[in-house]
Amino acid sequence: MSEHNYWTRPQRVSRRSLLRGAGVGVAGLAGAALIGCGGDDDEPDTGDGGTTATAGPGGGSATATGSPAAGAVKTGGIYRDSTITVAPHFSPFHPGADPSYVNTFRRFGYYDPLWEVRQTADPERLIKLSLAESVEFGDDTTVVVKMHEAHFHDQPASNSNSKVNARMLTAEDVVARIEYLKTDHEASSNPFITDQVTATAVDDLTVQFTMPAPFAFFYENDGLGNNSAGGRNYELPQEMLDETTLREDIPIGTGPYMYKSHQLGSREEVVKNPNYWRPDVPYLDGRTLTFIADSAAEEAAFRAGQVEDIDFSDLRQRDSVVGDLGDEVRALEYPSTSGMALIANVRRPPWNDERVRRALHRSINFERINNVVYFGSATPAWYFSEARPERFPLGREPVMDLVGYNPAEAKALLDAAKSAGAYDDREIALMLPVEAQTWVDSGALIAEDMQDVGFNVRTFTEVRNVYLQLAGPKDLEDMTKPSDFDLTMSVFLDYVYQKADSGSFWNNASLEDQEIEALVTQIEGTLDATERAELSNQFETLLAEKASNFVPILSGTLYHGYQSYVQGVDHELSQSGKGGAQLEYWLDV
Amino acid sequence: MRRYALRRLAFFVPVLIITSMVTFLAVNIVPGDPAVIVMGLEADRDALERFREANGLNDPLWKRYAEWGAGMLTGDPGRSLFGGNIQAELKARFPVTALLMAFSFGFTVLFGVLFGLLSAVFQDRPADYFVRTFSVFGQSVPDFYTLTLLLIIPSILWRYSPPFGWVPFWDDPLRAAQQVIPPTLILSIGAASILMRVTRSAMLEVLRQDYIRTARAKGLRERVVLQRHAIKNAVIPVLTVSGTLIAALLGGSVILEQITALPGLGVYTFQAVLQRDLTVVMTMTMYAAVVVLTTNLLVDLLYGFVDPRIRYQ
Amino acid sequence: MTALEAPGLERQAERARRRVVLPFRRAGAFAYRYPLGALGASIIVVFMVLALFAPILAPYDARRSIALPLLAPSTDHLLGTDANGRDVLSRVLVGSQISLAVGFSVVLINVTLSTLLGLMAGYYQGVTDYIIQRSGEIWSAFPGLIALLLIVSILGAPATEGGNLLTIAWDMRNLIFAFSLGAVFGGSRLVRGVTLSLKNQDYVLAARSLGATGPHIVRRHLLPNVMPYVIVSATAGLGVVILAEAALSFLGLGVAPGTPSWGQDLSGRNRQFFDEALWVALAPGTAITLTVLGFNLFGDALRDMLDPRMRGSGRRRIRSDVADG
Repeated sequence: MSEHNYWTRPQRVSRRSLLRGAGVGVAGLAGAALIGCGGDDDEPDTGDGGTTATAGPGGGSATATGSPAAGAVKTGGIYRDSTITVAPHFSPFHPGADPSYVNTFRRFGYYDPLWEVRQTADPERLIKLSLAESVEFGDDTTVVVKMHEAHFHDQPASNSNSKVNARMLTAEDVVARIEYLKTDHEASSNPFITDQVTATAVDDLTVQFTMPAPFAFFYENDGLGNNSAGGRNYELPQEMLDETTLREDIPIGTGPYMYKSHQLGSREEVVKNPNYWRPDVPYLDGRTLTFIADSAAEEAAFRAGQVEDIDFSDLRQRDSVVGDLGDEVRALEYPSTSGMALIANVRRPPWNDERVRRALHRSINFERINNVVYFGSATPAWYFSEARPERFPLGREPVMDLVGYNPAEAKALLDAAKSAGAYDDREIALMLPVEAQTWVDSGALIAEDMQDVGFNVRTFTEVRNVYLQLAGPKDLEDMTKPSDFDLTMSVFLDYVYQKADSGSFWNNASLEDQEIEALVTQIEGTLDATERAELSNQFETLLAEKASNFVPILSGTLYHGYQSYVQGVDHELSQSGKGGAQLEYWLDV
Repeated sequence: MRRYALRRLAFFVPVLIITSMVTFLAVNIVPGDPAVIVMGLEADRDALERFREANGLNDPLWKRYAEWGAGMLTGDPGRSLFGGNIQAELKARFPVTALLMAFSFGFTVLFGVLFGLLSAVFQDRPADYFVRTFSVFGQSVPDFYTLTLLLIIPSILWRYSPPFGWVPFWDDPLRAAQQVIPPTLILSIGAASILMRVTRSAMLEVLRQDYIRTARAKGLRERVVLQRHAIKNAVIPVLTVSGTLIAALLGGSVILEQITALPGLGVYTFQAVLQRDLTVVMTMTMYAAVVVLTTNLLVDLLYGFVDPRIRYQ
Repeated sequence: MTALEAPGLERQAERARRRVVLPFRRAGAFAYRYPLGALGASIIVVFMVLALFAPILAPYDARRSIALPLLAPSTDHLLGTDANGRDVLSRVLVGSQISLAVGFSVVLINVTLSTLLGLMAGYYQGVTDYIIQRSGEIWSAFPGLIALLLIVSILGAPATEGGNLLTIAWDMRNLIFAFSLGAVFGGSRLVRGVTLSLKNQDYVLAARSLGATGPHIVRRHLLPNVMPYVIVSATAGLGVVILAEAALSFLGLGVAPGTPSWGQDLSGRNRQFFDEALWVALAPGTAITLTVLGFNLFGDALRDMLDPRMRGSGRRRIRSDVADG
């Protein structure tokens, strides 16, 4: 294997530090990214190496493409992507509340991250190094990263080009990037980076990260995953670290593709970077990204062969398209990381009463929601979904007797709470974001279920921004003031959001329970994966015992399709978002 | 007439000022916090506050209004809260919407007036019934649904869809034609049906006037009667309705742009309203207001042009 | 006009008799002369009846999910179930309430106000015209859809728990307000334009030179001549309102999701399944088309009937003695 082999494990990662893990940070509406952990120097090559792509059977794929035999790869061609979200600017650091595929496309086209984190239970594949040639753990609080030699694009369209002048990426750029993220809160504000991490340049290609205390989620908190909203370890020239430049100038990075053209709100073209630091990839000459907001229109484009892949909106759409097109398309399915959950505002009665919360848990008929809204394709989940194996999810089964569907008991609990004066039969408003159709539909069913056991509940929808405002912290100065909602929906969240003051939008997801918070702190500081698994399951059980105000319901399945002439798709990578970092796609036409 | 036009033009100024004030107030009443939307869910309170401060969201309304107004007057609408350059967006998107409007309004007038005349001239004959039936159906089907069908049916039957993704018209006129003509045809059905009914109604009325009877009585050929006497007199209501249809088509073009993924001003504005992108909503409202005002003025001037009996005071 | 002499007793009795009999006779005459208009009227009546009795007629609770999604039509569910497992027939029935309540309210407000304003502006011109025209201009300067979106965003998407048409119209007041605001000034411009072209006609000038007062001329000479345009635009307006409600739903800002409304049922997830579950969109789509069709046919016939320059004797018979007073 060549020195630049993408898949080769870093030789200098010491066994002692068996990287211990990480966890997801982002819980954006679109889902979350994964973490990674280190390797083992006894095992130099994990077997998935190779200059061509691998098609490891990750994430429960339905149909699969085979691994292309070496030499069978065809180079050239333009890969045509589509997306339903339009990116308002070029910055990789200003994601906004719309985690956008466009930004993913741009990030992975224009920039290389130091590493990527993925969602897999396989410790060997949790982290994929990119610009980083090796990651070395000095002790529990320092990480030394050595980078490949990579040069910035020679991009004439960019105003910054003359300043950058296609020079080499250095450790100084990485340090400047960390400093920028620390000072400019508007860029992917992250308490971890802003408060904890210090980066220093050891030499031109070596950076050292220092933390004040051991932190299990270092990787994801600096890097975040392939499709997360807040990718932060994308390296770009320090000359461009300025908000306006980042947003509006044509991007320059070290990435595999270079900007070619774009039409605002519609289309973007990138071409292969001829000086990419990995000489073997990308196979394609370029990619285009087209913005198609409407899912019916996107289906039409896919059926007509105008785009190479599609994210189906549900099982029925996939069945319909695959049924019509047969062998001409391939279909994949992955468990979704984001899931669907309820958040009850624990600072508002009646949710401060445990009986009422448990009645809520017990009132929800998971099977009905699954059959009606998800066509039977969702799976029950508890706090973390199966798609987040590094979170050691307990699953719903072990806690069924605490929070499972049981309308009779829910009614009894609620009656008890009512007669004790804990619930005065006040109308509870279930707030739903109007853009999320499946949530709106599920919300209607949940409201019916709740009514059946005696809740006085109504649903109402808000456009996303109002929803965000109402569900967010009521008062930024005084977080003890209750937020403006009774009950709302959420994606699955992470450990950190069980802390009473996570300082973010999701603050309301916390039960504000001392015991739980202490456990979260302990998990964050536990580097050993086995220990953390034990604590994580303990965490999930504790939430069920206390009938948390965060009510996980189910986690869906993502359906993805692509034209069968697309070869070399790595399932595990596409799982974390099409248009992700994988470069080994090729077109067999 | 020139004095009238100038007076009307002078009136644009107060109208635009009032319009901008009302919009500014309305946009600021609308619930929703742009800071959260721009900064994302992970943003902490300091970040949100800093954003508000940096973008003047904490300033008193009058101050923000004054700043925005000053910017507009100097021809620089400013930046979107999301960081986009509004001027650049306008430049890129205007040709798309202009093309869509040109085609849809063109089709509307063409089919509306043509079939309206046909229908009136052949009143109560098969052609009339056919046109009227078509117009009734044309008016009663939601255009977002027909537009969806327009995309999905050919893709299932013939594996065809119009190309997605806009390239400037002159780079590839054939591509643009495929993207623009079918949906604007669909979009114009509704408006053309309305125009057709109005045209028919106006024509029928004119055809019953005494001077038409006189014209016929003195032996003029039907074609001459229609061309010289009838059509001219039926223009007023048609003109009025055409003016208002432009606004309707502008609304329809939002849906068209949304479904066919054409990057016009319609979706831009729509998204801005949804995302509470204050500067963009304000700016777009002002530009749209200028267009509407100009159209109204033109229609009023045309009244006098086609009907000398109308006097301007 | 001078005051009328007190009519004799027989004449009063005759008038009372005619008042009772005439509507039927007129309806019969109308149906005879305008069969298509009668068809339109019957469609309207049928939907009105359905809307009035929808809560009784609906076999299931239209708001509840009662079965698996996308079930084909069967004896249990005559029109199948929608993407949320709700009975399509029940939703179409109950949905007619919202469509008609919103449509009628808007058109009623629109016709009344726009005729009034348009006539005043067109006839009196001067200050009245100036104020009305300029207010209209200021309002119309707002791009319609943005205005609609802003209003709905400020006031919120309306929801209703059902009930009779009046309570539903009240629940839908946000939408009704938003739609009316947009339509009134447009309508008044139309009326004003027609008035302008009419007021210099000989018969108006003649009436004025004979000493007729403004209100009289407006009522007797202008109003009847303006009505055809108002009616045509109002009947078209009803369709436009129903469709606009659907379009707002498509954009996610119509009635609250889950509320049974034709527009709602034609958009959202229901729109995705037309190739495998056509009935889901076909039912509300047909309902919309039929209703708008009814109003348009009826409106066309009304236009022909009300047109004062309509030739032939039918008009005289139907309009009876109202004009002779």
